[in-house]
Amino acid sequence: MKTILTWAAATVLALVAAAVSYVCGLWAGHTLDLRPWSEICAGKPLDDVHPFSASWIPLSNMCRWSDGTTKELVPWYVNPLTLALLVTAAVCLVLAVRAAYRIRTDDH
Amino acid sequence: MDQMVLEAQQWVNATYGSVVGYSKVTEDGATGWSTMYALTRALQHELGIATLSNSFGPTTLAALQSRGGITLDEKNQNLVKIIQSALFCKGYAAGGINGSFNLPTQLAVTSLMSNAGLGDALHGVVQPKVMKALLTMDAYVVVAGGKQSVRSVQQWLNGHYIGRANFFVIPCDGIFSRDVQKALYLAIQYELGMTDSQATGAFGPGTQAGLQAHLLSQGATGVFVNIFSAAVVFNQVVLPDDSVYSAFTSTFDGGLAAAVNAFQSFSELPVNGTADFATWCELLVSTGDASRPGTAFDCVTTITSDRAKALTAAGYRVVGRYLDEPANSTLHKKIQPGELLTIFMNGLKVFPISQYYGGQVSYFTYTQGYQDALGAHNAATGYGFDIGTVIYFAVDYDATQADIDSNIVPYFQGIVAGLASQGKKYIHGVYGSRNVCQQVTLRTYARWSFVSGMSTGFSGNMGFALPSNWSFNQVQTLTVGSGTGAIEIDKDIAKPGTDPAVSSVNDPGNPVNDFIAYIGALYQLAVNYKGTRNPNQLVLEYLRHADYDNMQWQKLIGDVDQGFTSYVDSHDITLVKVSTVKDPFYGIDLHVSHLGAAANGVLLLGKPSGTATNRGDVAGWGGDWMTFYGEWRRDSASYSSGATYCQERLAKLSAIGTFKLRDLTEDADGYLIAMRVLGGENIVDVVQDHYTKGYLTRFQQFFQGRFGGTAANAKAIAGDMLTSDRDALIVAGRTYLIETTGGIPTLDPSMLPSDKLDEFCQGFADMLLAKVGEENSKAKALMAKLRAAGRM
Repeated sequence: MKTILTWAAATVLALVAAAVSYVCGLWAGHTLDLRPWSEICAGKPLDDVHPFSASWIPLSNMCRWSDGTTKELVPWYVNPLTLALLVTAAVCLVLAVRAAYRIRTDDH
Repeated sequence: MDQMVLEAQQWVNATYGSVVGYSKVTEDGATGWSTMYALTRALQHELGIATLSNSFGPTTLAALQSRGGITLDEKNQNLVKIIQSALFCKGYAAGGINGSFNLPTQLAVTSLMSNAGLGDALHGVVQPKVMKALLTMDAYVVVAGGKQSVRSVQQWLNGHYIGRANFFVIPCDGIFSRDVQKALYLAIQYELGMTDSQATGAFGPGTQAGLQAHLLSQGATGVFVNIFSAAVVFNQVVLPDDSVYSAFTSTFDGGLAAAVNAFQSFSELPVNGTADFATWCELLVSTGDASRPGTAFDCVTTITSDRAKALTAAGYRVVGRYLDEPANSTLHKKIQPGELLTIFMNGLKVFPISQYYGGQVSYFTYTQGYQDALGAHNAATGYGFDIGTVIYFAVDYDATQADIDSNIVPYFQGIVAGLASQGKKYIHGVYGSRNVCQQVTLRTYARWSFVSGMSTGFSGNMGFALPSNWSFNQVQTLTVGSGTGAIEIDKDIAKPGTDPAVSSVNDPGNPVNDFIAYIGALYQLAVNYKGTRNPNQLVLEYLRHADYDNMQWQKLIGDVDQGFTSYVDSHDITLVKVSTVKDPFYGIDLHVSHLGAAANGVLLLGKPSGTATNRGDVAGWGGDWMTFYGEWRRDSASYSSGATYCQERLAKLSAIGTFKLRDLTEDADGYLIAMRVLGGENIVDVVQDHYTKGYLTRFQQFFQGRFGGTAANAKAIAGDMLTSDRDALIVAGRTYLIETTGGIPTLDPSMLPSDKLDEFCQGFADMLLAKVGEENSKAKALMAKLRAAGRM
């Protein structure tokens, strides 16, 4: 029973950590920012037709300048870290389920 | 009313009321100069001085010095009571007014000394200079509008130089002032090795020659770096990230070099990041290095062809000339017939100045301003100056802060009303000292400042930084040319990128026409595009798409039709595209993308009912208001009162701040345009009408339309914008804006004590009311008055 609880707690912890990592990415990547895009991507003129490209999964918020260059605003480690934490949560969940199955089998 | 101040006033009146030369102070419990003067006279009486005076001058100081100050074992209880009374008046708890130099009194004196940078050791005596400081209204803690960085320098100056004979305790209130600037001059002179009699506190030739030997660059250390960085701190240098330089340091590090670069760029000096002679001068005196070359000038003499050629050959490109002069004037200083043509044909440009008199305070009244504006308008129209030309109205004397408050600002309010009554064809600028320019800009939105820097001794120039909107700085009188080409001029340093001056007249072009044409072209494309969205909406989406279409904006008010964006760009709109439009009222550049976002938000989400707010508001004024809240909390150490912060920072022309006049104007215009489009009008017609006549009453319409026309409503709506939790997306955006502006952690508005938030929101409502008042009431009232008097 203790093993199940340990893996379940680890699952929850990893999920919370993944959520925190994602929210930090939202914050640091100016995804919630209402300021003018030209202030956020200051330095060069923006591409007129596509001044930005963005996605929620994987999290991305990218400046696109008229000279063809780009810059990702979401820190590079956010997506790998979030993915790793989600995988960890999944593994912990599987281990929790397996532990529960074994206990149930042993009881029988 | 302060009970202890009242007690002090009662005691000093009761004790000295019958002394010849003593003037009784009003017993009201309010501290002020009159109480300090009464205590000063009381001190003089106790020291045996026969002729009493308000001034704590050399005689009082010498009398105190001769008795070695006031020691802890002072037998004369009245002297101790004077100290205790002064301490209470300055806000220090002295234990009571009992004549006993007890521990609370000692602690109060040491607390004051510590705040003034004089250390916290009394050494058994109140020194004469500390006594002098006690009997002033100077503060030794940061006051509203003050900065801790400035206070640190003030404390350092006191601590370092109090031992010199002619150096007295300066305030440590965080405010750069004339006395503080003089103290800095003294510090330089002391460090240059001048004796007490040589150090006069004036920036004369000896001081300038001494500084030539102390040119500094990155890596330098020592006391001259201290003094140099102090001067940089005093000049409130704005760094590229919009923060103000604040590091008082003895090491010339990279941060100081970056600030010097910013200052040199702002002041139109060669940018090299070093403390060269020109930079020292520019930091310390309103002319800067007066011998540096200028490209502009102003004069009272007619520009003839020979003179124009001589001036052009000497490198001058812009001339300031007078529009008019009083009917009885014999100066002939105004532009003469044919002169403008001569100026333009010789490659010069011109900026118009209006000065009928302007040499003393009594001249400056609201009515006079109104009449001078009418005169300037008529004269400028007669010469053919075009719409949008900035006219500099002159204040040609050393106006004090009191003069500015009582007369100069009302005079300029009259000018604003007068120009508005003529359709706001021309925009007002200001000529005067640094302080006049700053205050007139802050309170009447003068577009550009023409600074009378040459008057270095003006109280309005010493202790004030160059105004952020300076366009010309008058620095030196000289003669250019010879023979028939000779002319005496006042040389001006011109700031590129500000007032472009006028290179032709009678040009019917209107900068707003370009914007109207752009909207017309976009609307035609939107109709031709045949998309699913309304053409009016497509136009607004295109206006905002580059700046306001990221993920958060898409969630907030919806996305932009990318197909239309591509369609417009494939039709080569670049020829008519405008990103800024010059506002015909204030002459400021409005950002088309922000205007489009504000309008798009209102168009899509409409106006919420009652005192509620919605995402449409966030797209306009609400987003700016949230950011401004973060800014206030960031600066709350200097601005405890939200109302004061609003009064000084909200919707101003200043280069510093997030919610400038430009933002508010864009928000108001966006709202008004969108509401009319929602009412069924075509956006091209609406924009044309708005920028032809609607802008004259934009804030009145905005206040009525969005805020119900009452201050109570405006306050409640402003409060809802900061505290409402109905919409999670608004809460997330608000939190982000506040925390990233104020710095983590910044107190959420809902966590703030309600009276403080109320005061802040009242500041927003007051600002709107002030804007409405500026546009409307005074002009109407005065026009009615003038009509009644038969003068119109």
